Amino acid sequence: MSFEKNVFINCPFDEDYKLLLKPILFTIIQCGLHPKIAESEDSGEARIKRIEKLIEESQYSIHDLSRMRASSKGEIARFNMPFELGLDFGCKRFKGGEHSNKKSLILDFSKYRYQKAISDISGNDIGFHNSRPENAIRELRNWLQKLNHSQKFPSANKMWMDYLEFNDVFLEIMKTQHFNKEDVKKMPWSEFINYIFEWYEARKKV
Amino acid sequence: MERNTEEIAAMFRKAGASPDKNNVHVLISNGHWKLVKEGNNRATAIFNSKEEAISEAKKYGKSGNAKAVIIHTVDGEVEKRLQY
Repeated sequence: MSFEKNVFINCPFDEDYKLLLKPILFTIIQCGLHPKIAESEDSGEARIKRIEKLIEESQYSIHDLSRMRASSKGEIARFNMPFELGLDFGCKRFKGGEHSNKKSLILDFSKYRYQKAISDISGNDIGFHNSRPENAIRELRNWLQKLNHSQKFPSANKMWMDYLEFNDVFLEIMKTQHFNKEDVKKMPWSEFINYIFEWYEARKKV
Repeated sequence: MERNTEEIAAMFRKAGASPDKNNVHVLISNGHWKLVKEGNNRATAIFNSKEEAISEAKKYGKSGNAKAVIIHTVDGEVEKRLQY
């Protein structure tokens, strides 16, 4: 797949974050782009190698720093996301060629929170989702539309409603195929992404 | 159980090609609870609370104006699906 169409997603992959990752994947596909996540790639290589490859292969990247915090007393904040953000910035800055055109959107929970921990990123494109999927769709869709003004993407509202419909369709189809809750929970991301593609390719012709 | 991914992919294509206009979704959008008929871009009705929206959606089902009422969480997941 081409560099110009790839979107690297740097985010947590735990159960809680699924609620945001699913609409992010859905929005990227609705904008005609290809989401790239380390969890959907063949796992023959070490994780960091896969991430480096995805960063190199992607013009766009989304870095969600909202989990850069401890959620309970004694827990340590997670720093994989800011580390991968640094790798992506380094690739853009030093690799040259098409990589100089890399575009990044940084997502965080709320306005100004990131400045307390990583103020060097001020001045970049930063969006806030308050952990609400609808907000994540709007921030991402509007950012991609701003960068691709020759194209006309569906409104964020339309994307949100399509996403809700897809969620219902997804569960109904899984039931007919006797997938239980665990099957759905553990479904590989590559399979889930493929189903979004299939659904949306048909939907955009309606 | 072996998964037939091509068969499943075909089901997604079919569903994508034909929104079921008999389905009504209860959803939140821009801070308001709404009823939206599948395939429509605009809400059929807007409510002050989720409970009011569900109550109205059930009337659609009982009166034969909806085949299914799909109630969503604020995160967009399916909380409940009522068949009529």
